[in-house]
Amino acid sequence: MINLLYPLLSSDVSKSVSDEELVDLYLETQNTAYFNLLYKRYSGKIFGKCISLLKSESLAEDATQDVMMKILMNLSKYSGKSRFSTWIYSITYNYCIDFLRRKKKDPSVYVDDFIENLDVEDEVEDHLLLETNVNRLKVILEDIPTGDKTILLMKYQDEMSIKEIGSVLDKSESAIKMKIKRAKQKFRDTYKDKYND
Amino acid sequence: MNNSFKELEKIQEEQFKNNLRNVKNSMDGNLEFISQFTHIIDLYFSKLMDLFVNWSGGSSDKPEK
Repeated sequence: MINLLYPLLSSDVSKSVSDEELVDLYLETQNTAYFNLLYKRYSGKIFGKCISLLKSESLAEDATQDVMMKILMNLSKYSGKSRFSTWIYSITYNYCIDFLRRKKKDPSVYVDDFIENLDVEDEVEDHLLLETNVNRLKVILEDIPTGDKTILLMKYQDEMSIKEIGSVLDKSESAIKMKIKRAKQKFRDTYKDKYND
Repeated sequence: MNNSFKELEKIQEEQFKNNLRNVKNSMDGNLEFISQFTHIIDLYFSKLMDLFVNWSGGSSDKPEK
């Protein structure tokens, strides 16, 4: 059987070619080797996000497969206006959020902000989150609501801008700032409850 | 500045390598099926169309000038 996902390209080539170039090469040649490189680069990251949000290995496997197929089928629609990583993470987050909404596993995912007019000045500094011990970070992320977790992953793991997060979640920039502030506060409160620091 | 979120991402990538193998195998299967299906359509679609035209009383032969 032809292995469609792992034809080989030399590792030198695979490291030096950007995501956007690989997309162009795949669209020009339809050679699956180019998509395989994108798969290698991102499947682990996509799986990590899916398991964080869906909390089940088998659901995360199915979600990763569906997301990767969706990416493959829609590569021609990638316009290059945003980073490729932002584009595929937005597909991943939207897939997981839609899944959770359908299953109604976590209503917090679709609760709208009611505090949009509050002062958006940050009270929790970024370094408190970024320098949290990894094991503790994992525990806290498992404990906080999915909506808060999603926004923290977008901001600190994927390094998306406020504008990019807004376009993924279809919210205004001020709403996103508010959501980030609330998520950081939730993170800090959960940390204090768990570790008394 | 240290970024624990990125560290966690790397740890998860290592931790779930087996799951990714399952995903890869499953995608391989799906893509192989799509590829075979497309191949079959390529091969037989024109013949099916000819058959349909014949059934409906037409002819697939080109008209003589």
